[in-house]
Amino acid sequence: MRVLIIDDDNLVRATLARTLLQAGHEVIEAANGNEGLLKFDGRTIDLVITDILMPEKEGLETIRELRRSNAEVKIIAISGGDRVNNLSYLSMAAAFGADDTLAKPYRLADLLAKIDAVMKV
Amino acid sequence: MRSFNTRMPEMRSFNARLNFFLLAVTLASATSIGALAVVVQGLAFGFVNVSMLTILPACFFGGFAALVISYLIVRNRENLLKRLHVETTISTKLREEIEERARVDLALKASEQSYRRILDNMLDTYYRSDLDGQIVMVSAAVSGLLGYDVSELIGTQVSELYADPSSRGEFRRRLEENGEKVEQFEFAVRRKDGNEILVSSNGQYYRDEDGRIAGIEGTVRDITARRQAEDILRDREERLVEAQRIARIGSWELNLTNDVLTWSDEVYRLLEVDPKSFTASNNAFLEAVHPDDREMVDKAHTASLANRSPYEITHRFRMKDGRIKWVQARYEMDFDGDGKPLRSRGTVQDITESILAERAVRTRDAWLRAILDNAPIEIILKDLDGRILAVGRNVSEILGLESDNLIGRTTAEFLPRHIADMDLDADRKVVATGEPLQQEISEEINGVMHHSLNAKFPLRDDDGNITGICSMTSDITEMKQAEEQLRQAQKMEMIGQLTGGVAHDFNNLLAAIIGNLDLIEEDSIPAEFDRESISTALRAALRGAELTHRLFAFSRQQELDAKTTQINQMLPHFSQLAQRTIGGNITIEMKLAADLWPTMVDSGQLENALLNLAINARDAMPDGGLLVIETANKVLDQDDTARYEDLAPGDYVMIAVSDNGTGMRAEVRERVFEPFFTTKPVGQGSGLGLSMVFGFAKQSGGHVSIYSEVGDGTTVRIYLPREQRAATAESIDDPSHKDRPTGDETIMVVEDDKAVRDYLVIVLRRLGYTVLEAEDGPAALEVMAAASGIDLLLTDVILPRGMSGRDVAIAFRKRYPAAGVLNSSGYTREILNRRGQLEQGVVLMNKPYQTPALAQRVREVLDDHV
Repeated sequence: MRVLIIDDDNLVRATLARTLLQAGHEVIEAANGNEGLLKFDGRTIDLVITDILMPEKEGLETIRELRRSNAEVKIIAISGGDRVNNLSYLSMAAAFGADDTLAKPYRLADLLAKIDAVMKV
Repeated sequence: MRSFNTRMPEMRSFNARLNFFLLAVTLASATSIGALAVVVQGLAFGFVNVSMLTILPACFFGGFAALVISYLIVRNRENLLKRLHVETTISTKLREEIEERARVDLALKASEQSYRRILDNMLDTYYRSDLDGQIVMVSAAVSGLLGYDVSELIGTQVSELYADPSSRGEFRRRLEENGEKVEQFEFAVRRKDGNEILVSSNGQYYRDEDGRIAGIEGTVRDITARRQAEDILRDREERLVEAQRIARIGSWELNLTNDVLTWSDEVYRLLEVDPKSFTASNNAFLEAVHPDDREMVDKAHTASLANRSPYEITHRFRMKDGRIKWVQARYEMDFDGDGKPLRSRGTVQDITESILAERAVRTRDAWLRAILDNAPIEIILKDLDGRILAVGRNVSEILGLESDNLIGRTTAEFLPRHIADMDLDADRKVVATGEPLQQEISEEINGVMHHSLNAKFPLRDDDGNITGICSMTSDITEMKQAEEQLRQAQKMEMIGQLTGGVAHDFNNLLAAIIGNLDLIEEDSIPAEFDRESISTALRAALRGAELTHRLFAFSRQQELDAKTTQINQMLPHFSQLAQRTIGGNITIEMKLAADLWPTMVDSGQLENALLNLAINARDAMPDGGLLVIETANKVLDQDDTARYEDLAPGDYVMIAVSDNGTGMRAEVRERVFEPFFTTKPVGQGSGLGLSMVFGFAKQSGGHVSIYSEVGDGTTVRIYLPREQRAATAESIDDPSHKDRPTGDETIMVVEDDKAVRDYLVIVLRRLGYTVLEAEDGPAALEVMAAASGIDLLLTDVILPRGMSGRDVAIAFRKRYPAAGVLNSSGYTREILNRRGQLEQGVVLMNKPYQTPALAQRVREVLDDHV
């Protein structure tokens, strides 16, 4: 499985990449939404894991654009942010088309379980 | 005179008279003879003188003649009588005629005299001129008319009296045209005194006994006065009409004896009907009256008739198109001696405009009143002496006095002394300057602060003169409280933002730490993976420490590690750091002052502060731009420092960071140093950056100022106090610094990006190393060949010109098997591994570099290969 990781935090990105590589997946990294959208290849990428609060192009917009261009790709949104105006970033991400969401920090098992669940659907 | 009517009586009378004549003749003869006898006797007796004798023949002749006549008469009595009869008849006729003529003459004369008297007594002047135009007769009135005596005018040419002689020609022409007479011919004549007067003349031809035209006669009347009166009258009428038009007063008159109604022009105009085609009528008038007013008009009319008193009434007319006209009607009636009404007359004045104006004024008054009474502020209008002209309802309610009781009084009568004084002062200012004035008044009442906002402005009359003051006061206590609450809420919101931002950052760090620890915990993962994970987790944890460090710096709880620093020396290094942080599309330019004073500062914190400013500058220049870092010596005197709190006059080193970005609005500019204030979304800025800069500068005994214009960019200047001791500036990269281990080995740097290469070279040299550099693989081979010894290869993994970092490393190991290799890349190890670009087991450093980490890794690798 090819996974696109979009996160501006290089430590988070590296950790995620390492985790997914360890799980046997192929990983493509992007430091923000713009880069992610440039690297997104609808034909070969099966899953996008994207952060929400990022510079240049934040995750919600990225998710929306990804969804517009591709209805099939699975998207998991992750965020360390909480909420704005009583709407959590993650619920907004779900509304924009993320298949599932995960709050940072998360346990490895939770992440893998989410990925499994999303990919099985 | 009545006889001669019948012949017979006349004849008898004649006969009697003849007899009487005969008797007389006989007597005369006898007398003559007697006289003769007397004379003869007288002579005889001597008492008659000779002269007396002369009468004797006469007496003798007389007697004789008388005898003869008597004889002839007696003898021819019958013939004589006949002849006498004929002669008498003829002479009677003649006499009758003569008598008649005498009688007529007498009558004529009497008539002429009376005629003359009439003429002379006539007011008009009578004249008669002959065919030559000469005056032949003129009545005495002429002297009054022209000032000439009658005698002066007889024989004068009539035309000479004309002021314009041609008028006479006109008169004659008309006379000829009309045949006999001309009436009321008006012309000007010149008086004897030279003045001209206007006369009216009636003239006609007069004829002689044969019926031929003998001249012109006529009367002349002075009509100057009449004409003047007429002119005055006409003028008056015109004025009246004009006055009626201007005043819009129409007048009417109803003759009650013949029911004839007349309207003045203005009535027609008022009712908008054409006087040429419209006949005045009472019905037409009443029809035009507004239906709602007809009854009122009718009643007033009836009452007036009954009371015989004039009336005055204001009512409306409704025009055909529905327009309303307001009129004031006045009406009165004339009665004859018996009390019978003769005529009624009245006026009707169009007062629509004044009614509308009055109503407009009343409406505006009502508006003003409504505003005064309903405005949620206290409004007081005062005259120049401070006496109240009007107040709003709430003012009377607050003071507990009826508004009428307040009018004419001054505010001093019911306001506390100090407030009244303030009020009066403000009033005077408003009057003196003519400008509005606003002031906030705070007053403690029963232990509670009350705030009000008072606005005053001058009231002016039509000519612009100030005649009073309007004072408006609103209670802003609640607003003030709300503002305070808002400030608190904003503070809470800021804290929320901060915590949100910090929590987000911490969550990321924890994600990295937990994620990596989870990986380590998994048994299946190879040991070298564990090391990577531990390294990442550690970096995340260190970043967490940095974050708390920054929070402390903000809260000023961190102790500054201030040292004498040459800022110019640290800036090139900072510039590289900044360049990496803010990206390639922003050019950094340095303008460093020569002989910049040293300053006592924590260089790490200064770097942080400058980096904060650089990041802000980057965010203000999303499309790239120019970032200028400038240094200068500044001497701040009392005036300069007075504006700032806690800033002493003296020598300062200034570091300015300027961008040409979007700039900021004043309201943003004013708040940028507030902690938690941010214009960035949650997670993208804690709002601590500039406040941290501020805190740092203050803690360093300096100051920060900001200059920004929307569209022009922003300049932030940090002022740091000059270090007066002539100490040697320490390097920012203090070799003794725990975070930055140093060394004296030789390191070869292979990096294609010149900026990064330069940075590495500078940093490593500062750390004490000997640095060799190469921009790609082939160049590195050359350097290696030439070098006497190299202890460490620091190479970028991805290099141009056919040789990767791995290729360089392989070649390097062949030559220096004991030396260490440190790979660096913007890509992760995994990607590089997949691509086969990384040797198994090599040390990889991720870009971007951080100096302490770089120093650390370099030292580690060197130590591993000792």
